[in-house]
Amino acid sequence: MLGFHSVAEILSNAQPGDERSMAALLPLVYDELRVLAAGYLNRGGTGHTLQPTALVHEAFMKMVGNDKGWSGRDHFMAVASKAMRHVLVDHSRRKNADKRGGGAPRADISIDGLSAAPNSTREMRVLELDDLLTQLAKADARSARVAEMRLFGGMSQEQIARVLGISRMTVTTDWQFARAWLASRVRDDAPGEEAKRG
Amino acid sequence: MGDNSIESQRLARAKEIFLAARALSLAQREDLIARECADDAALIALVRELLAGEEMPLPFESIADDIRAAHDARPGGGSVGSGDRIGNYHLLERIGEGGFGVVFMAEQEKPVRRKVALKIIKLGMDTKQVVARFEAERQALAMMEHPSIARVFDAGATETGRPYFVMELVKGMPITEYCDQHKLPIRERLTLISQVCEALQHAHQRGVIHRDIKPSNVLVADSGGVGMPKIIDFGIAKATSARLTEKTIFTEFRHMIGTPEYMSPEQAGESGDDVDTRTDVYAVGVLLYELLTGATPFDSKRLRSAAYGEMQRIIREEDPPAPSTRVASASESLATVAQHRSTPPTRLSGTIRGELDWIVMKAMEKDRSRRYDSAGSMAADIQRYLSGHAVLAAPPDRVYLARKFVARHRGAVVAGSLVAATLIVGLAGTSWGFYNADARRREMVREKLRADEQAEQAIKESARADAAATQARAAEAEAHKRARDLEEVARFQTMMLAQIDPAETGRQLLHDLASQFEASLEKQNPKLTEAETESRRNRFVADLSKVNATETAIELINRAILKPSVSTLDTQFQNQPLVDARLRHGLGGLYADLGLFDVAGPLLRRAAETFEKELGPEHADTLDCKVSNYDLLREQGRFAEAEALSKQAVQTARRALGNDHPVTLTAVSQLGMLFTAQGKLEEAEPLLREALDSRRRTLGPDHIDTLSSIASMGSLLLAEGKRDEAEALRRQVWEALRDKRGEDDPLTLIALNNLGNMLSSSGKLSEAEPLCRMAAEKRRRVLGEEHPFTLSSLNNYALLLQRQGKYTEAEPLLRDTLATMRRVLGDFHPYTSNVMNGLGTVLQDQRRFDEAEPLLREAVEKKRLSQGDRNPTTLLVIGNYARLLRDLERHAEAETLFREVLAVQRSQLKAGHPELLFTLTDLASVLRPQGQAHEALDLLSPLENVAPKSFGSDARRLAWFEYNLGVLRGATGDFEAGEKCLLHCLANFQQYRGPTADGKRPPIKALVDLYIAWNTADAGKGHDSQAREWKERLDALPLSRPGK
Repeated sequence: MLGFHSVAEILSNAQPGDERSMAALLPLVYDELRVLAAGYLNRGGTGHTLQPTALVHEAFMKMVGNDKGWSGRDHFMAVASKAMRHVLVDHSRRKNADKRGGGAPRADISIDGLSAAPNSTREMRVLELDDLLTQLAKADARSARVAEMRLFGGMSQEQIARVLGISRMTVTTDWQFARAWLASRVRDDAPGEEAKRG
Repeated sequence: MGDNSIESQRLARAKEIFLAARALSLAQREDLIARECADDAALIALVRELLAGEEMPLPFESIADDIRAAHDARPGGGSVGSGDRIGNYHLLERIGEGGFGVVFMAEQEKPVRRKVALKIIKLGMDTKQVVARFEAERQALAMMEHPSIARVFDAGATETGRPYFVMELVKGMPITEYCDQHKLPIRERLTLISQVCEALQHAHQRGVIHRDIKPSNVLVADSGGVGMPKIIDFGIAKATSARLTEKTIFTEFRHMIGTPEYMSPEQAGESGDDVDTRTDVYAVGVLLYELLTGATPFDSKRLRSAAYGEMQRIIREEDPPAPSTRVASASESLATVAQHRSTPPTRLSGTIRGELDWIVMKAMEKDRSRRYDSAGSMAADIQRYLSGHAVLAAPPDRVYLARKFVARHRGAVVAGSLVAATLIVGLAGTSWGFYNADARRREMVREKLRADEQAEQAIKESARADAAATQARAAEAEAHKRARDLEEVARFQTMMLAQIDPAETGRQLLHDLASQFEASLEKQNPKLTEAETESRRNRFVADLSKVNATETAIELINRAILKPSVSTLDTQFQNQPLVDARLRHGLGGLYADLGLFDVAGPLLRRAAETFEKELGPEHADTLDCKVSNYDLLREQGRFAEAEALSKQAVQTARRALGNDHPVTLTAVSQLGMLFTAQGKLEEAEPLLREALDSRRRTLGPDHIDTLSSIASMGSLLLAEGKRDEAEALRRQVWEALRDKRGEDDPLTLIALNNLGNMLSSSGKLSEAEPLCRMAAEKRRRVLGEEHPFTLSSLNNYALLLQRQGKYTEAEPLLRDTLATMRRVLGDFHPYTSNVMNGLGTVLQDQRRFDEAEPLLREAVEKKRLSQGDRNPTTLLVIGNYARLLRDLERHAEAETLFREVLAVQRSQLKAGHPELLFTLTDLASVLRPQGQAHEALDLLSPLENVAPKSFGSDARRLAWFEYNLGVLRGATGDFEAGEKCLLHCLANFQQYRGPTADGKRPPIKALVDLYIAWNTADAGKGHDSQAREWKERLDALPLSRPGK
């Protein structure tokens, strides 16, 4: 069982790159992430505010303030992007379950079961992305992780490179690959395109 | 998986080719693909897909930006501003911002047009909880009407889920700034503080505690040259406090804690929410300290730079210098401080020394019992000072100093318990919901109690008074009102608990741990191959899955919510035995609801003893609590004990309270249920009917008690064999409860479970299936994996699976459930033996008789011991065991048991009762192989016309009856009637089991035997060909299970 340390302890002991310590901070921002996820799913932005700064970054800033010298941020964001994914998926499942009348047992909801739904809502996109990333991770875990950090954490290639300890070039090619793989498998809303799914 | 790794390799290869091909022209790409992929069609397809994918949009590519945009667009987020609307309010201008969120000046249009202040809470609040807490407080807030209290009008949630509060718009500045800016001398400052105290007193008298008194919440508006203080944010700290408390327990972040300078020792304590009106008195003391000296008692910088534990220690243990000392020692700033107070520096310390020191220090006592007992008395003391009278605050004495010493030692204890608190809250880190609910609940209880204390004396008097009847009645009425209040609290508690989702909390917990493990794995062992990482992760997750997260969560709830309440009881209400007893009663009920009978027992017993001692044996509260005790006994299957006691309680209640008194009705209906459970139906019926009629009349048709009476009637009707009536009643109850309390409410789930069971046992399997499933799933989620009701629902669901012939699904479910029950409830719990019975019969159905025998034998033993020989469930289990013995061809033993059951049922049930017919059929079935076919036929023949009606929709039992009758008739030479019976029987089996062949085999075999015997007796009538025909059908039946 992982211990839960005081935040001060975590911060003072944290070495850059210590994701385990960063993970212990997660509970502190979980609620915030949930609010963000709900906001996104309920209303959503149009995508025209194209500041690449990610929300998880913001959550982090709220926690530790503007401590510029400290490089733990990248690692925190890496953990938080994973958390964001979970939170979004969780919300989406629930929302879908609600739409299905709420009485459907949660455990029964599978991605396949959703494909018959009439249109591709944001929740289903999230679930689909989650599903595809899980598939991709089985074949190429690193690419999937890069995609996860990029998509859910809004992390820059430099940040991802630092966190994973790989070159920026590798991040770039991993992302290009993951992106193409995802795009080729994503369910198109147009009818008749179902066959494309592997 | 080999397949998988081939796929992985192929994908890796495709990745290389794709990356190489990206840079090339279309023609070059084709060459590359042709060269690299050779004839691997799958690889070619993959590369082409990737290349095509590159040209295609990725719909969620901007997901992070979208989230960001959604975030910015919401109020309190990046870009909310003037012109935006929130609810009925039109935002005009941003007037403040702080750690809590932002404040806007806003315009309300409906129902009145006015300008208001709208405060949007920023970070980490559970909106629903905050708004619910506010709603609970709204009435009290509305009762406040004081010129120095800013009204709070409304609360709600923004579109994106942030809580907001709407308040009277106050144009003023924080009291400290105001005083310095206007260079107010000491006396005027005292006058302002005295006004603040009076306003607080007003609020406190209406049961509202502020909890966050600090300069920025005490604004002073200048009206015509006179400063008028105005306290803002009433009700807000409280609505948002639970959150603050949790944060403070485990974070060191200064900006997450409100304002440590004004935090009372009890707020800085281990529970953090143990707050009463004297907490506000403390904060006003600090405010006065600051107004006198220009500094807070503890240095802000020091507090804010200290670790949290240290900060707590300072607040709880350190004695700040008296205000006069502080002023004297602050030499460099003294001039400024004095100037702000229009006082010569040389005189400032002297002015403060003595009485003002005492007033401030009395308000700021660490031990709140030594503070001013109310804000009003602090105001009075200030007034005494201003008018030259001696103040009540006195200098510290020796006792005081001795107590300080103890307090220091206590610090060590506090530090110790903090560690524990940190762990608990850390564990719950991802789901605060229940903790919030608890804080609110405890608070609500505490507040009601405070009011209750006043009523306490009246209750005692009323109970003892005999002559002063009028006065006693008035007091009694008051007592009832309090009891109702408490009932409301208890309901609220139950409701809050109903909302706890231990399963979700637990699930989240596991999820987080897995993520954290994965993250640390990646980082700490960078050399691990992906496969190794994957396999380690999988192993971890597999190990983790052995942890019952829901149980962990329940344990957490028990530790974090219930146990603290019990220990509070042990220490806090020694002088208020009735309050103590009420709370014990309430808590005992909650524990019983959680299925923790052992904990509930002592609580309820002690509560009943206390009530009896304080109020006498005939008081409604005493009786009510006793009935709760007997209810628990019934839950524990201790029927005999419960019955004797209940009868007495009913008698006493009728005599002392009258027949229509709610407590009498509770006792009556409890006794009725007790009789039903024991199969004493004739005794049960008049009681249950009485309770139902009286509740309908006095409480209305959809009161919760009326509904529960209807439910009890349903159980009785079922026991009496009136299935259709019972079904209609149960459905009605479920629907009513669902509409009234929500479909996840524990009571609703009881009703759902009962309805599902009823349908299932009536053979309406497809109707029953979704209901049984829903009941099991919901209970698992709402009550937890190991709650007796959850286990019971699982058992019922397994039973349905069994009835559907899905043995392979039913068996493991039953085995798991049985193991859990043995562990959680013990072998003697009625539910445990129910599951033994269930598992035994599933094995029996699969003809695994030897495995079934010990289980059913044990079930019978345990039933006899725990529920008695006459209990209907005991009889049912005995019957099952007897049927198994029949399968094992131990006919004589089976006969003895069937006869025993029959004797009891004959005394309990009306003639024609299906259970009775069923037992008779079984008895007949074991008589025949013992050569007593005629005697057996005598048992069944008279029932031929009764049976179809009696069994109703239970086709299986009817078929069984007809089978036996048919066989017996054939065996006794009445071939024609026997044939008719068996053909009927076949049709009924078809109806019951559908395509499954198992049930049809015996009657077909019996038909073959019958035609053979018929042919022998009356040859040449074609019965031989009939025999052949049916033999063919028999042979054509598939053997559904090998080895059968």
